[in-house]
Amino acid sequence: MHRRALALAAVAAVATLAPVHDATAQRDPRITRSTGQDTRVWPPDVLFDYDHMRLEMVFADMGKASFEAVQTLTATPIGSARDEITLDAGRRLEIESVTLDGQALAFDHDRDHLTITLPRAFNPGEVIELVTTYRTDDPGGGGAGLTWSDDDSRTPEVDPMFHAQGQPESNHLWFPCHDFPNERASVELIVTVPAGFEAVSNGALERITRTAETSTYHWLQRLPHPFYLTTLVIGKFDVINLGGPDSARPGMWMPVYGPIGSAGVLKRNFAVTAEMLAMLESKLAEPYPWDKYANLICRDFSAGAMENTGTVTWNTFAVGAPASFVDPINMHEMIHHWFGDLITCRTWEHLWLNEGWAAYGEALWAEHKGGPDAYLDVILSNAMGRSGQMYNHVPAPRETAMASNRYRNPDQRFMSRNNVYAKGPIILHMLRRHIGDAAFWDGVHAYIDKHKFDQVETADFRMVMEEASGVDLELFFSQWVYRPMTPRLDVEFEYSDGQLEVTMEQRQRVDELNPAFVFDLPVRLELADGSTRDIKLRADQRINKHSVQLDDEPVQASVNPDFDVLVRTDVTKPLAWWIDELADPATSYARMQAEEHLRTLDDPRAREALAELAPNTDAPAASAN
Amino acid sequence: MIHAAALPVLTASLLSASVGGGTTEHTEDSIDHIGCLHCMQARMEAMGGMGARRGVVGWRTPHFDAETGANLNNYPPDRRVDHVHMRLNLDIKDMNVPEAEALAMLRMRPVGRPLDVLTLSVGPGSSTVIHDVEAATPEGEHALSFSHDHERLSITFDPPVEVGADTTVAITYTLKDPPEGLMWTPETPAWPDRPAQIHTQGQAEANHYWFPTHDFPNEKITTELLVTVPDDYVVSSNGRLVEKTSPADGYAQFHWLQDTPHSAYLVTLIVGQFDIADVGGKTDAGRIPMPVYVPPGKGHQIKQTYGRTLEMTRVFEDLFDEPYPWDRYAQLVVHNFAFGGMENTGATTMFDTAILDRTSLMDGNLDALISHELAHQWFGDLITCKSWEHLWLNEGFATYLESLWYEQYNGRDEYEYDVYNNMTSVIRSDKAQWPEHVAMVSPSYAHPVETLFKPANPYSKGCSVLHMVRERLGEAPDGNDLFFPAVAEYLDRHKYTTVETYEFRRALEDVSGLALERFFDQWTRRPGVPYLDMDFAMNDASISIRAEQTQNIDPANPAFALDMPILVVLEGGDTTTVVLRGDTTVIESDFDLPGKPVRVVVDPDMTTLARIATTQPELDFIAQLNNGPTMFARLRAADTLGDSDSLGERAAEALVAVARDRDEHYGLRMRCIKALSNTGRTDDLLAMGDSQPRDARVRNELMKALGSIASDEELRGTLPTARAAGFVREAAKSDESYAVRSSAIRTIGHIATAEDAPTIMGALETESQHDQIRRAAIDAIATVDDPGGLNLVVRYAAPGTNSSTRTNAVRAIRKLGHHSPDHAFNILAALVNDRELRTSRAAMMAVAALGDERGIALLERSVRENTSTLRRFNAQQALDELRASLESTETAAGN
Repeated sequence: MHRRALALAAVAAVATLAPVHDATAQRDPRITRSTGQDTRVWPPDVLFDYDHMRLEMVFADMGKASFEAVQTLTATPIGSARDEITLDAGRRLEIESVTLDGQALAFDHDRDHLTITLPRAFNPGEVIELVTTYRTDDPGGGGAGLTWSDDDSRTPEVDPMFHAQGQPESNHLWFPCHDFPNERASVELIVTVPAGFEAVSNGALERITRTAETSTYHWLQRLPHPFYLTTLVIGKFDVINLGGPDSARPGMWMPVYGPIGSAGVLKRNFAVTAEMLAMLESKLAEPYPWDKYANLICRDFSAGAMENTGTVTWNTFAVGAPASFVDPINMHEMIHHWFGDLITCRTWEHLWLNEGWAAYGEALWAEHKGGPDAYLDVILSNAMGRSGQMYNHVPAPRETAMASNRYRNPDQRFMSRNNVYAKGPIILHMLRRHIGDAAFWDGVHAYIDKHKFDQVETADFRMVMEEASGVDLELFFSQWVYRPMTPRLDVEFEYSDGQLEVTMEQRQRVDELNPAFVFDLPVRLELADGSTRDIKLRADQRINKHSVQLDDEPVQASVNPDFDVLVRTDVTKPLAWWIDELADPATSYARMQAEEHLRTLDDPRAREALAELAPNTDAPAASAN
Repeated sequence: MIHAAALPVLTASLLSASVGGGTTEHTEDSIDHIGCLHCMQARMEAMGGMGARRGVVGWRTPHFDAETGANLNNYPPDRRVDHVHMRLNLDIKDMNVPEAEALAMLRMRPVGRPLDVLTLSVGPGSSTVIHDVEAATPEGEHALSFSHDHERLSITFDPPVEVGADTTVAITYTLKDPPEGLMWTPETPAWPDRPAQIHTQGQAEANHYWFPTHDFPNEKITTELLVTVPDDYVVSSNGRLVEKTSPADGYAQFHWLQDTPHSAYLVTLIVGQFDIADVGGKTDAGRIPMPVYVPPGKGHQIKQTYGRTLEMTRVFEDLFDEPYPWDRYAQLVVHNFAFGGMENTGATTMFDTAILDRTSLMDGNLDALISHELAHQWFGDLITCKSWEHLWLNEGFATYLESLWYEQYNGRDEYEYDVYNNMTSVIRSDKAQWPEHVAMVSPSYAHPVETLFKPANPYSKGCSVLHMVRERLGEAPDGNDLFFPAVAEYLDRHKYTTVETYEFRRALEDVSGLALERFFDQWTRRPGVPYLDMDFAMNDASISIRAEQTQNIDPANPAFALDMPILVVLEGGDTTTVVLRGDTTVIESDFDLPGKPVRVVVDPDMTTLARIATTQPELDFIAQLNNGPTMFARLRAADTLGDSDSLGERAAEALVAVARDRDEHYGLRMRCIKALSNTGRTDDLLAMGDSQPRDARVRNELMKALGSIASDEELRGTLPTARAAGFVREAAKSDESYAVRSSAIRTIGHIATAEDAPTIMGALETESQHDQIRRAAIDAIATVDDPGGLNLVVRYAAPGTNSSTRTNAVRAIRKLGHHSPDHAFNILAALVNDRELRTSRAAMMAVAALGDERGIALLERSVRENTSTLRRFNAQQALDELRASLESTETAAGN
C-alpha cells in the first residue's frame, strides 16, 4: 500500500502520531502497567490450509452499499483432526447459512468471528467445502473493506462505485476469511452488476455473461495470495490498454481503468508502466507472476495506491497529478507484486519486507532512468526529507523499531517514526553497499526463488542474504531493523606530522537498550599531492579514536560521501575544506553536507562561497527539517 | 595399567570447585549426575551458588558496556569462503614427545565477492609454527604471503580468487603441545603403565588449536585425516577408515574420511591403545559399526555398559524417521577428558571412567550419557546450531532424547521422572529478571563455554521446552503425538545445515498450524518462569480459579501468557479438564462443570514451566500422591508435601507407604524419602533403616536422609542420632553399593570420632567405579577438618590420579588450608597451570576461595600468559571472585 503517496496526508498522519508517542513517553510502552501485560501482538494460528475461495456476489442496486453473496471456501485441516473452524467475518455480515455437502452446519457469529461446527472431525488432507450464504448492507466504507461511493448529483458523469481495501485486516468486512497475511489461497470472484457497470477483480477474466439487466464478471486467479490482496472494483470506466505487441512488455494485459473521460490522462500518467514491468522482470530475474497488470482509479480511496494482486487500486490523484508524481507510485505498487504479493510479510511486524522493498523500487526506477546520482537522491530524500530518518534519534523503549510487533492497531506499523517507507529503502540501500552489488542481487534472486508464494519473516530475508554474501548480518539487522533510531556522530579531524587523528563520538542516546551502533564510517581523503584515499573507520563505542598514517598532508576529508551509512554526522574540519568541498565536492551528498554546514556559520567566507554557488545550484535542500 | 577410578562428573567437581568457600558445594557422585557437558543439576546448583554469593553481578552477563557504550553481544563471523574440504596430514614420531608435523589442505570457494585476504583461526605461534602456505591451482602451486598473529592466520591472494572458483590452500606447520583443543597425555612415572594418548575437544572453539580452520559452527565441511603414528597405537577419527598403511618401519598411517559435511568443532582425533568391541548392528541406514574403545583390560565391561547403543539408535531412527546419518558410531573412553562426553561426528568421546563394573550397575547405568551423545548425532551434528546463541537446538534436544529413550525403554514413568527433574531444576534457577539474567537463546556471553552454564540453561530448559512443545502440538491424525512428524520435518528441511531457533519454530508451525511466536518468545528469548499463587473456589457445579503471577514483572519482564490445563476431580470420581488462560498478572476464571468439584490437579502433564503454590489442603496432595493421574502429578505431590511446614500424620503415612513400596517407581520413592527428611520425620526414616530398600538408588536417598539425622546438631546426643549413626557407619563399611557407601562416608565426615578413622582411611585406599569412595573419603577428611588432613589429601591432588579425584583433593586442600596457609597456597599455586584442565580450573577457584592476596598476582599472570582462551576465561573468573571477596573483606574490616 502506498500511504506516503498522499504525501501531505501521510506526513500529517506521522506528525499527528508523534505527539501521541511523546505524551506517553513517561510510561514504558512495553507493558500495560496495571495488568502486567506484554503489549506486543502475535499472529493467529493457521489451523486450516485454505485452498480456494469462490465468491459469487450480486449487486442488484448500485444505489446502495448492499449485496448478496454465496461463498465457497475449500480448506483442509493442518496438523490435527479438527471439528471446528473459525473465520474472521465482519459483524455486519448477515450470515444466512453455512453448509457442507448440502448439510446445514451450526455456526456462531460473535462480533467479528464466525465459528462453524463441522459435522465430524476432519483429518489433514480431507478437503472441506464450506458454502456460506450471506448478505449485507454494510460491507465497510471510508476506504476500509468494501467502500461504496454514491452517485454524485453535482457531476452527472460520475456514477456509483465500489472499491475494496483489504490491507491490513479489512477484507473480512465483506467476506469471511482468515484475515491475516500468514496464509494464502487462490480466489475467484463472480460478480453480477447492473448492466453498464463493470466489475474488476484479481486474476484473469474468464468470461462476461450479459443479460438485458445485468452483467456477470467471472474473475479467476489460480495462483494463491493472502486474503488482504483480494479486491473488487465496480464502476463505469474509461479503459485503456498499455499492452500489445509494441509495448515494452508484449504479451501482458495491462489495462488502466479511470473515470469516464480520463483516457488521455491515463495514457500520459501510466505511459512507463510497460517499461517498468520489463525492467523489474530483468532486475529481479523473475517473470511477473500474475495474470494481468491492471490499474484502477477509485473514488474515496483512503491511501495512495494499493498493490492488490494484478489489480492495483489508486487514489484519484492518479488522474489529477503529473506523471512525475505518479511514476514512483506506479513502480512502488508494481514491485509489490514480487515483494508483498508473491512473497508476503508473515505478520505486520515484517511489513518492511513489503513496503521497504516497494519504496526501494522507487530508487531502482530512478537509477534505471537517471543513474547512480538519481538513485542516491531518492535514498537521501528518505533520509533527509520529510520523514527524515537521519534525524530520528528517539530511543527504545519509547519508540518501536521498524520491525516490531508492538502496536495497538496494525495501521501503526505503516506510520511509525521508524517507518517502513522511509527507513526500509535506506536499510536495503545500506545492505547493498555493505555486501556489494553482486552479492546483493544474487541474494535477492535467491530470496525470490526460495520464498515465492511464501510468507516470510525478516530472518528469512537475512538468512538468504547471509548465504549469498558470506557476510554475517545478525548485528546489521539487529541494530538497523530491530532497533529504533539512527546514530548521530560527531567527527573531528586533526592532522600533524603525518598522522591524521580522527575522533568520533556517538551523540544519540546510548544505554542498555540502545548500545552504541556498530558501523564502518567511510571517509574519502584528498592529499596535497593530489591523490585520494578511501578509508573506513570503525565506530562501535560512544567514542572511537583512530590514527591514520598519511604520506602527505590532507586537504580534504569527505565523510560518508556516498551515504553508505545511515548516520547523521557533525564534522569538525577546517573552514577551507568545507568551502573547497562546496565548490568541488566528491559527491552530491558531500556537497549537501558542505552547504548545510556553511549555512550554519556566521562567517563572511562561508557566505561568499554560498553566494557563488547560488546561481547554478539545483541541489535539493539539504536540511528539510 | 592402573585404573585410578575417576570421578564421574568432571563438571560437577569442576563447578563445585568454582563455588569456592560456599556451602552449596555439589559433591554428589550419584550416577544420575554423570553427564557430558551435561551434568545439569550439578552445574546449575554450582552456578546458582556462585550467583548468590556474587549478588547482582553473579549472572549479569555483559551485553552492554556502560563505560564505553559498546554492544557486547556475540555474532557469528563472516563466511568469506565456502569451506568445502579439509585434508589434514599429521605425522607423530613419538607418542611421548608432544609434537607433530602437519599439512592442512583446505579446499574452498569465495562467497559474495572475490577473495583477497582469507583469515583463519589457528593456534598461537607458541604451539603452531607455520612454515609455509601455498595455493594449489590447476596451473600449479605457488607460495602465498601470510601473517600469523595471535590466533589468526591471514593469507593474501594476489590476484584475488573469483567468486565460486575452487582453490586449495596448503598450510605446512609444526604442532607443539597445544594448550587446548588437542590433549596430549604422554606416559608418566606418576601414572605407571598408562599408555600415552591423544584426544581432542573442539567444542566450543578449540579445534583451531590443532588445525587452521573456520572455527565457528556456521560452516560445514567434509574432512579427511591421514595420521601416522608408531604402529602399536590406533587412531580414530570421524567417518570411515579408508585404509591403514605402513609408510615406514614401525609406523602405521590411518586414513579417515568423513565425506558428508559437518562443523569444524566436531572434528576429532584420538590416538591410543584400547580394548575395542563392536556393539553395532543393523539400522535403517544398514549395518553400522559401533566400536567402543576402552582402556586396556576393560573390554569385558563394554557390553554391560554400551550394549543398548544399537537399540537406542533404532529408537531414535523410528521416532524421527531419519536413518542414522554417519558411517560409523564409535564411542571412545579417553584419559583426562575435561567433560562428560562429546558428540564428535560418528565418534563420541567419553570421560575417563565411562566404563562400568558390575557392582556400579546397581547404582544406575550410563544410558543418559550414551543416549545424549547419540542423540547429538542427529541434533547437533546433522543439524547444527548456527551460533552458540542457539546451542539449545543441540543440547536441549540431546537432553530431551534421554527422556525419550527412557520413555521407550523404561516406560512413561521414567520419562516423566526425567523431564520432571529437568523442569524443576529450571524452575529453581531461572529468574524472570532480564537483563540481570540472560535468556536461554541469547547472544550475551563472555566465553562460549558460559552458554552451557547459565540458569536459563540450554540443557534442562531446552529439554523442558521440547516437552512443552510436544504437549502443545497435540495429536496427529494417527493418534500419535504431532511433535514427532514436526521434528521429522525439521530434520528433513535442515539436515547437513546450520540452524537458528526460528527455523525450528517454523517447521513446527508449518506442520501443526499453530502460531508459536509468543510461545518461543517467552520460553526461549527471555529468562525466567512464572511463579503462580493459585486459589480454587469450589461451587456446586462450577469452579473459580485465581492465579497470580508473583515473579518479578516489569517492562522488560512482562507477565507470562498462560494456557494451563487443570484437572478437576468431580464427586463420584469423574474428571474433567479446564484450561486457565490469560496474560495478565492476575488471571481469574470461572468454569462451569458437569458435576460438583472435589479437588484439582494443577497441570498434570507439566505443560508449563511454572513454580506453583496453591491453597489446596494436604488431603488433596495425599490423593494426588496416590492417584496421580500422572507420574508428574505424583512427584509434584511428594515435593509439595515435603515443602510443608508441619506435615500431617496421614500425609507422612502416605509418603512412607510409597517410599517402602518396591513396586513404586524408584524416583518417586526417593522423592518421598526426601519429603520425609525435609519435614523432619526422623522416626519414620529410622524405621526404614531397619529394613532398607533393596534398590540401591532408593537406599542411597535413605542413607542421605539418615546422614542428615546423624549429623543434625539439634539432635546431637539423642537416641535417634545414635541409631542413624549406626546405620551410617555400617553402610560406610559394608554396603555393596558404591554410591551408598560414598554417601555414608561423607556423612561420617560430619560425625567422625576417633573410631571412624580406620573407616575413612580404608575408604581412601579403596578402588571403586569413578573413584567415588576415595573421593568421598577426601571430602570426609576435609569435613573433619583435622590439621593432619592436609597431608592425607595432598598426594591425591598430584598428577597420577584421576583428574576428578584431584579436584576433590584440591577442594579439600582449600578447606583445610587454614591449618597451614602458606603450604596450602603453594600447593594450589603449583596446580593452577596443571596440564589437566579440570585440575587447573579447580586450583584457580580454590586459590580464589583461599582469599589470599598473593592469589591476585598469580591469577593475573595466568590471565595474561595462558595461551588457551578457556584457561584464560577460567583464570579471569577466579580473579573476579578473589577480587570481590577481598573487597568485601576490606569493606567488612572498614566497618
